[in-house]
Amino acid sequence: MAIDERAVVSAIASLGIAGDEEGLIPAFGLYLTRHSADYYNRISFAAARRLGGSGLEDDARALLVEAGHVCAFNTFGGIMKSAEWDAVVKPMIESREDWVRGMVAVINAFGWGRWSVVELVANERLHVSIEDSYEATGWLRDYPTSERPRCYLGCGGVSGIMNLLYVGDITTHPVLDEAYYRSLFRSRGAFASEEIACVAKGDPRCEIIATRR
Amino acid sequence: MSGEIAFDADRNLLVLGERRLVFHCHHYNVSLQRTIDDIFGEDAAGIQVAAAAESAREMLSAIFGGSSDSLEARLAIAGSLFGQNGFGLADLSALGSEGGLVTLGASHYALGWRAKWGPSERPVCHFATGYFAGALVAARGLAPERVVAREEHCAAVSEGACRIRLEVR
Repeated sequence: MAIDERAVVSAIASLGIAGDEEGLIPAFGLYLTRHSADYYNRISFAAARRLGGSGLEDDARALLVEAGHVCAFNTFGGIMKSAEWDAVVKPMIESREDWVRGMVAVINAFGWGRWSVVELVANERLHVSIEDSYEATGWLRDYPTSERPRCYLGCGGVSGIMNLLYVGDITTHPVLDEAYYRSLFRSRGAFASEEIACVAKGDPRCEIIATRR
Repeated sequence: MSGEIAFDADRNLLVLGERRLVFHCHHYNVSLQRTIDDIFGEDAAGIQVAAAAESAREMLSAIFGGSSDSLEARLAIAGSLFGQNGFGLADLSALGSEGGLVTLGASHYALGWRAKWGPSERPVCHFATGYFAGALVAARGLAPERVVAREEHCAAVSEGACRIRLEVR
């Protein structure tokens, strides 16, 4: 059975994820928010522009992508260990690569724009295309066409998926602690992402490729 | 315009008040906040409060539209959406047209910060602080710079509820 993305999105959307009596959303071992894309964009792009003005654009990107790695490790990792994953996605999984496709299907209920797997080479390479990336469309709405790609969270997410599956092994339900994070994202041969096309630059869609560094 | 969230499953868009919403967890939220803190230093809190106020004002202004709702009703909508979206439990009973106090019985950022980093040396609820500043601006139709907000106490620093003081100038 292949991953049925529509069924996954429908199932996640039907969970009715919303604040409880304390106004919090505990789910997947995390506290979730349904947050303002504009807020993330404003503070992230302010940081990129501040450091970029000092010639430190690459450093800004590294810091913001690192936040995306933290997101992927904890959010994607938490989801792939969850009872909801076991109930909705796992029955469709036949291979390790299906874990990647299943996670992308779940992402397609997060409001991040539509992610599609263009190419997946096991243990080597993941190419994801994103329509309506909130980062890129947010940049294009509020700033001039960019000379650089702007999907920092997207890049962290794509390499994060590969690190969870092919550097670590999320299928064995590891403890998602700081030591495990370092072993996945700081190790030689960890996956890193390059955004080869971005709507913020005037490209028709955003495209991110994760390979081993 | 309603306070209902619309989900376009084909495009994976969540929209509220003509603005996009995206799911993220406390690990990302407090990690990004710390990154911004590191980059901007003493200016970081102000930048995040201003960004939150702007995003809340734009979203809530679209929701309130030209309705004849009272100030109290509009603030109640803002507080309800704050909780529905996972940011915490806000008591707005001491907030009025000229400002006042917002008390957070639970705060996503304070809770998340403590869970990930331990106690903080300074308040961390920049998003909540800006959100309620933007809410008051939108509810009254004020010029944005007329509302000043400051977190007086934060549960990430020490025990007790987070308290946000708002003043209309």
